[in-house]
Amino acid sequence: MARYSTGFVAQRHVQSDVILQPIFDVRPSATDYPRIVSLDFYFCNEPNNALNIAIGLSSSPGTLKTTAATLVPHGPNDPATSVIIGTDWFVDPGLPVSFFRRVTIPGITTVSFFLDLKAGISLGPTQTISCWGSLLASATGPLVTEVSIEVDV
Amino acid sequence: MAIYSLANRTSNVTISTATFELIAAASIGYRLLEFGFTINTATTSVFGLGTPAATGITPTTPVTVLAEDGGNTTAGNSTTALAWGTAPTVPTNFYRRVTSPATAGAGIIWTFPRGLTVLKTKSLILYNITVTSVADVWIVVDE
Repeated sequence: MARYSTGFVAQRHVQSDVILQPIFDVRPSATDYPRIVSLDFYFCNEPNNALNIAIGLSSSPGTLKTTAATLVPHGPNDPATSVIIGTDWFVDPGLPVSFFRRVTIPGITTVSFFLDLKAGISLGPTQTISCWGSLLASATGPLVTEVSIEVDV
Repeated sequence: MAIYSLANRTSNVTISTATFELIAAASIGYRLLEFGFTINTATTSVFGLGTPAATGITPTTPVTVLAEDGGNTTAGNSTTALAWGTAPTVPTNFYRRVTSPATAGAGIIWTFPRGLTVLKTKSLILYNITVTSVADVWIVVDE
């Protein structure tokens, strides 16, 4: 097992609190099943509205359009991994039935939040984990966040 | 032993009532490793975490915790509840209490490195010491 991490930008025009929208997902490959150990959010364009972030197992994987980022190994001799980070889909992932974490973030531009997942959330071969966002108080607008993710594969 | 977690959005904001209960199954207890929440509206809120004097009866649509080791672990057993036929009652003492400012998104994460042990059929509750905001709550347990 080796540790990998990457930083990327996720952005989505999101809607009010009752309608969560996917902003990124993590997808295993045929050979690599990730264990997500931390997620770090830095909201760089957040329109002075409190917002909501939630992560859970996608009820359906959706269809990936573009790969957002490549996970970088921490060890110089660790192999490359084919785990995929997605931020754009032809068909969105399905809303999780329940969430592992759900957090309200203050309406302050450049606010940040760190999720330490300790033992880690691991994925089986047919599972994807997705992160969802919305704005509170019936607002709509862009949600742009820098995300740093750390996984074991 | 395996790690499970779950997030809920509370609904009850009434003073001197429980707003969230984490209930151990009849067959197995749990150890609470982490309890976090953020408030959802701009209301100064005082919360306490403790063992209820009386566990809630007939919880409304309890939700089962999710396995964090999704590829390998069997389903969880503990459940959460946000409403009850008969609500859990105020703890004699609290393990933790906190006052959050009137800012949506304010919150706290309590961690219990050795675990807060709850026996079969027993529970922990988040209690509204004052009128509170709706909150996004998450828990991490070891079963």
